[in-house]
Amino acid sequence: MHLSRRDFLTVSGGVLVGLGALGLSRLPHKAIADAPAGTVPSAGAPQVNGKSLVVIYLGGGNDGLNTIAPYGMGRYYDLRRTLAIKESEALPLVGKLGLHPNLKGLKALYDAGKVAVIQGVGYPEPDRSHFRSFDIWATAQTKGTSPVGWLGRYLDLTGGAAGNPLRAVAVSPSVAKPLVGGKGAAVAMESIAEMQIKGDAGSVKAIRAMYGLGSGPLTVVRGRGDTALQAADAVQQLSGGYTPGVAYPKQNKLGTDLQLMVRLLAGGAGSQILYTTFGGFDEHAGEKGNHDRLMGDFDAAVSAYQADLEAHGLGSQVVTFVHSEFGRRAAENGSGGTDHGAAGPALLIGGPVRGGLVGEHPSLDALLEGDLKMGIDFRSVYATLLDRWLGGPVDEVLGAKYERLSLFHA
Amino acid sequence: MLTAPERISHLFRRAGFGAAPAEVAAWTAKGLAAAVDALLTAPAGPESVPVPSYFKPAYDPDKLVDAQAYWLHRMVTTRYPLVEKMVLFWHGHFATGAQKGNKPPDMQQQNDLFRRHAIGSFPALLRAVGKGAAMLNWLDGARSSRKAPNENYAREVQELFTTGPGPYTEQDVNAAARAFTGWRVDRITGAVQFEPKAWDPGPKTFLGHTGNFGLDEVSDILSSRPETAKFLATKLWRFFASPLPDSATVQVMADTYIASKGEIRPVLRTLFLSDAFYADAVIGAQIKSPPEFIAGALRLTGLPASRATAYMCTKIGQVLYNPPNVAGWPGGAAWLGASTLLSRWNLGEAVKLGLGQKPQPALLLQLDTPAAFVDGYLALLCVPPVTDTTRAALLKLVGDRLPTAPKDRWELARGLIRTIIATPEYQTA
Repeated sequence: MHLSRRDFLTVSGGVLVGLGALGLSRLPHKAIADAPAGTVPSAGAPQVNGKSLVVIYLGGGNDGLNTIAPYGMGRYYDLRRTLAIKESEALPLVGKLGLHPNLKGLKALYDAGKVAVIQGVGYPEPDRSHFRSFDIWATAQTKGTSPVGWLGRYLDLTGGAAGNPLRAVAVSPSVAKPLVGGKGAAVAMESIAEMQIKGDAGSVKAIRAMYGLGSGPLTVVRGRGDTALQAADAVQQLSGGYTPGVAYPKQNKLGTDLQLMVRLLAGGAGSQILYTTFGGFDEHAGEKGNHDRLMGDFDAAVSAYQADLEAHGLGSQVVTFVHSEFGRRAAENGSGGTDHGAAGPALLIGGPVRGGLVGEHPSLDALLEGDLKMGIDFRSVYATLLDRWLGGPVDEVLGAKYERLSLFHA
Repeated sequence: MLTAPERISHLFRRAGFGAAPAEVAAWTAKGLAAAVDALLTAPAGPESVPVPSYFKPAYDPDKLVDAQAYWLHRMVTTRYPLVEKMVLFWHGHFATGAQKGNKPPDMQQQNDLFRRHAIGSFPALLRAVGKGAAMLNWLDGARSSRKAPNENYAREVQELFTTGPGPYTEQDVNAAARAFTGWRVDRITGAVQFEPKAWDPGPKTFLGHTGNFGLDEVSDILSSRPETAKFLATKLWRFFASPLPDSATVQVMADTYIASKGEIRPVLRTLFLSDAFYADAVIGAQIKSPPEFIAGALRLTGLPASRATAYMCTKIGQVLYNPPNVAGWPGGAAWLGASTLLSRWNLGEAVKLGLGQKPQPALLLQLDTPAAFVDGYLALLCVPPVTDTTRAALLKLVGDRLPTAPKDRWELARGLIRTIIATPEYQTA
């Protein structure tokens, strides 16, 4: 079967996927379909403990006050005349705090004791630029910046990707800053179907010969090619036969990304750190409908993914951390939206998580330049994740000592 | 030290989408300055490019993938490659997305705005972008109100589009937000209107200037700042030359911007005629963006842009008309994720299939030795100088003897084109 010139003109996105179906040669691979799910390809692998951290970054600055609504605070309704979530609609947690009405799946997970709501998370002297604030969260440094992210530094200090090219995976076109490290341990992968070279054996062989660690002007390109080849080979070696344990929501980018993670983990990729971005939260105007939709999409994706993890026996091995670069201004603006703010809530989800509220909800009567004051430094959350979950050097990664929180079952 | 044809190839890889061997030869004869002049010549209005008739089903301007395919078609067929390159630059600079009420026609309109002002006056472009429907929707100007001015565009226009962080304070953000009020977009037609009653007419103090400013005045203050000159010069250097700015050349570019009151054409002329632009460290130092990569491959192999190639562009990591956020695409090595790089390699296979089994005389080079054959196709695809490793792999693919039968020779040529597209060098410009 060959595609004609006309096919090239008219076929839609299936063309590249379609090439795989043409029976053209594939990567040489040793199928290990009989390997049990969850095994880590181990020869020379870094000493990881079989635990995985998934990070979901809510891009654009999620409105914390309309994610965890403080409906017991009268001032909330003064500040949010059109946007406030009604007490009757909020899904109550404890202490007159309630989840956004579209977070029904999250509420069920909360009720099952699998969600920690970490309140008032931020950092001193908040910066209201998306990019600066994201960089602060990415590098865990509030002063100056670094080319290396906090998880990238962790990977560098703990053996990088030696032994497992899929140790750290960003589900995105390029590696997100938090995972960028000096050793380039993390890979960026948006699709499993794309993780193979298509074409005849001669071309595939030539391509393999041209990439690899070298020196000179093409060091970066060849190094990235080497990473891509190793990751592609590792993906080809995953045990096949993943079937989703639940139905994922359709047309839901976060759901697609999270499902890719479950496929990797269920196939035995042994990925320790996985990362994705779910954007669209920069709601300066018309927040009502948009935030409602985002909350609904988030809830549908995370609920399906958590159930799928559990269906694949991964419930006790994976925790999911959800955060944004900042919360939003406490008072709504004149466009039915909210401008850039400061502190906001973060979530930690999973079987090993000690569910409940962590910290205090920031007071609405003691705002700082109109924004919520931070109660918990985000680096305390990082320190806890590193210390109590991933294992490894904490102070060296973060550059200072931070208080640990009670986020996990003992 | 580059040879004259190598300089021309380099110029056309950066200021265009590559050049065929015949074009390189012709411009080498006329000289580099003539080539730069030709590239800096723009048509009076946006180049007229009819929508291709081969779309089946027919082209639908309300579909994002169709708008993307049409834009790629422009890149592939344009007679003004530098203008199209600058349209890409401005899209990444004023990174606006087909979201928040923006439909593909709004994006198309902004795209034409970029094309009209591509290498013209930055102050005029900034004013026009600020009052265009796409930006008013994207950064919420259309929903701003006098009573509570929306700060979104007011902040980003400074941080990302003009001065960069530094000169402004939160008070300047607020003053600009007040000046930017009054603009409305009709939800159905997308028509933009200024409503005097919705505008805050009061005095504002913005970056040390005080007056009853509106959008034009604040835009002009920003366009004339020295930080803006430096910010744009640096960004243009990064886009066209290399990730590492040459500070002396960037300073001359910034001075040119100030002297010409924000004209882009002389800034680019300065860049393309500078020695620094042709330095060894600059040659092959740029990672092609996905549309550059795809449009170049299609242009030089004679294949058309299509919906399929628009989807490929997305897989290779750039969703045209949908930047990851208002800062645009990071570019450079960030393009080379694992799956995006594999998708690049696999574009070669799609090109091979697209070329078909029937020999195409224009692409079937009559060369005698395997080495000449490899070099011929590297030149045909306008590839930067290749390493010995790459050359050895390509020679091995071609084998010791070239087949004589046209059909066999074409099969070999297609395989070579396919593989060259996957070389490390072809990922660069």
